[in-house]
Amino acid sequence: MSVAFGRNLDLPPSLASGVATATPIKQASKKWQYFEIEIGDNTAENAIRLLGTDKVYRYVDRVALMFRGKFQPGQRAVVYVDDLKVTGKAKAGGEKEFELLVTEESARQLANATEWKRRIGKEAAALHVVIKKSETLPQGFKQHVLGSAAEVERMAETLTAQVAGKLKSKAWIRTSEAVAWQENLQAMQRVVPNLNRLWEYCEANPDRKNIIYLPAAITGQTLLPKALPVEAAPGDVVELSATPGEYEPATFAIFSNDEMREVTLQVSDLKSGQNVLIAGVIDLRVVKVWYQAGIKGIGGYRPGGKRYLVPELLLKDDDLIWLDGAKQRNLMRHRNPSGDLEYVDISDPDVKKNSDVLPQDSAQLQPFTIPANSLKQLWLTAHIPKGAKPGGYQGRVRILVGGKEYDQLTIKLTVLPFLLEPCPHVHSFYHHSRIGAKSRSPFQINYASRSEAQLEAELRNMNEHGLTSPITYQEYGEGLIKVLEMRKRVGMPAKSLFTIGQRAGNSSDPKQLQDLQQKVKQWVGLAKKYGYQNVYIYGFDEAKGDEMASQRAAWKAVRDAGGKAFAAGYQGSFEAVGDLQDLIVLAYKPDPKEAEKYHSVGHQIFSYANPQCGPEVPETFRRNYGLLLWKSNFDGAMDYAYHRGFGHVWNDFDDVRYRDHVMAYPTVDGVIDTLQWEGYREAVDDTRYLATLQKKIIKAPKAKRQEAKAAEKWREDLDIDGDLNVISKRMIEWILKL
Amino acid sequence: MKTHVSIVLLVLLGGMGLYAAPPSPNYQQDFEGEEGMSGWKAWAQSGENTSEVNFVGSSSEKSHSGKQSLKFDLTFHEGSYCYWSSQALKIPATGDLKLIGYIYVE
Repeated sequence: MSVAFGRNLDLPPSLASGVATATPIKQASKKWQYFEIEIGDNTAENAIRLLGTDKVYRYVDRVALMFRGKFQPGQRAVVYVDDLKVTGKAKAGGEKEFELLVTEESARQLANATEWKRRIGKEAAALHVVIKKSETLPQGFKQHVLGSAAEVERMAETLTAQVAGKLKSKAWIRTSEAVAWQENLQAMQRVVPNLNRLWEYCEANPDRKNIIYLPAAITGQTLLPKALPVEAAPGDVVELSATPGEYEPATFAIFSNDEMREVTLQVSDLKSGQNVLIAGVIDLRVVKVWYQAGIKGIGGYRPGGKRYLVPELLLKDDDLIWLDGAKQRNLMRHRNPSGDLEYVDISDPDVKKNSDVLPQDSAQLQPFTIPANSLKQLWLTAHIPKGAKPGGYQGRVRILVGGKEYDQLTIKLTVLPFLLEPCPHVHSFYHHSRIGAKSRSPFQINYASRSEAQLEAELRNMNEHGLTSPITYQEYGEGLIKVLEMRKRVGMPAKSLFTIGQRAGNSSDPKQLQDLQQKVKQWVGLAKKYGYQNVYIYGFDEAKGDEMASQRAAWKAVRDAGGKAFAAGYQGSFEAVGDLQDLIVLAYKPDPKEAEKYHSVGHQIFSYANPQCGPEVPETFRRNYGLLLWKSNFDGAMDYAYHRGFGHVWNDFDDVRYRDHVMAYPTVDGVIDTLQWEGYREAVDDTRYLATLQKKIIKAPKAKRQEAKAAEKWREDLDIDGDLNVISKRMIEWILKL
Repeated sequence: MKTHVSIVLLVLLGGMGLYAAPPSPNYQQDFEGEEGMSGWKAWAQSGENTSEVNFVGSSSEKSHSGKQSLKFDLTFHEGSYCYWSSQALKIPATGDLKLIGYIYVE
């Protein structure tokens, strides 16, 4: 345990804040120790780094004494503090700045409140109509609809109270709080019409015992078993469209008044006239909701120290993970060394219990249970064969309970009459997995040591998600040759090979530089045999200042030997080493101005940490690693990491600092996908549709010049913060028009 | 939806006065006199059962200057963080300002 003095920085009107501390004290000092913390202009850089803007006011809203570390039961701390003081001089004109950035923003938000009140009133009136007419519904449905309506009322009350409370305590509203308020109102605007449709659905089907909801697949809203209202409309037709060769997700959720046991799903062939797509083009999985830790940073926020139910895993066998609701635990089924199946707690901070865990999902969808008054989400992935004939296909999903027909859904799949252009961006992850390496991990399933079969399954999974250029951590040798063979087998294009298996270092010793050059030449030679045009050698990770500049001689040596230099870093790197750094992987929100700098010298810029891999926010991954890359003029993305365990990679509660970074969870024979990973695949596809549209615009025949001009205008004005599903539909419409 | 809730909100918005107090670089605490906890309070901790307070407040057992200091005597049970904070402040984070002080860990 350590103790330190700290300060909390507030950045109104943004929602961001940040803590900084003096040097932590880890042992009893038995004497008075002086400390100091800067609270001056260095915070401007932090604001830009965190928010991408300095249009915020920066102030310290509290000083604090902070105890940190893994507390032992009964551990006692006695600490005295004295003579606290702020010294130095503030910048002149601060009051004016505060007024401009904070007070004026608040006034603007107040003006909006009148309009919001009008909208609340409108939704309230519509909600009351639903409540009134729901009185006549059968009991089970009535309870569901009225329960949903009550939650909407509660949402409004909480929202209103929060804003009023904030004004009382701080007298200003942060822009992002106002945005959150608006988002909640928008949620009400979505939910109330859905409730109306729900009433109509229940009224028209009084004998039904279940409701099927049809939410958007990649969305910012989460579906939980007991949470109301469900942010989706009821229905019985799943509609999706895709091009030949594409993977496309869809989802549906079943709410049942009574418990449904032994639920199985059967997909039929899909037909369009004489053309048939066999049932195998549709893959079905259950969406597993389990306990996860808090999130900090971009892409969502859940305070730490608690356990949250979160939909994340896409499973064939729902029983692979059991939830212990009373103790908020995740229990994983695995075969122990004696060969018996048992459940192990994978949410205990005492991670030693997970050493021998060997997770393995089923190959086929297994029967599952839907508890009474509960919602179960199912995930559907259509993979359209490359030679599929365009047209409207129709099939169905039969829902069986205990082997008997219970309900069914219609699938309407449109195979579009064009092929997608390749992705205009390079998509890469830090991918720790290696073969043949002796693992230092105490865990059988970890994030780095792999069998050949496991590694190939991971590469295949990445390629199928549009991530075609992962960084290899494999060292030079036989293992590397096997990895290059695997990449070829799974269909990864051989363009650029990014490696951390060979590092550049920062030596300036001529002998060492000569050795480095020889190694680089070996890499370049081997990579060329497999068709790779470039080999990128990694520098220091996230280096700054002198450490960054110290690599110049090594990077020059790498480049002279035919390799290229790359590393993750921050703004300011270009000014230090931009002439030698062929590729920067730039942290946080992509900045087009940074892209301009690197492009001016013919170098590349990728995005990462916007957010890091892992948070269960599929829509954020779709937006930030898709259209945002295009809008920011970035060349690609290289996020950290495909999977990186802090502690055990399956246990989210065994590290005090970080949550595990996982897009796909490793198993004994491959990986288990997640919702955020499916969101990432849609990011890649969005930009492929955009590239296809761009090509159509350029190649439009004379007769379609007017439409092409309109399409170009639409593309230029595209608001990438809008509804991505709507944007996707519009892109398809434009492509079909041209 | 309860419309009266919205009306209450607007009354609050209107009545609160939007012009926030300006920031000030003045902050000093020496914990002398009858200050008691001097505005300090528990801020955040990793869970409900993280810590137990034996004593937090002005104490004459130790002092860097004067006769008193602010004493924290806590017993921890579980978790990974426990923060105590001062009263609400509004210190501008500009210029060459620094927070300084003294700490004694027993």
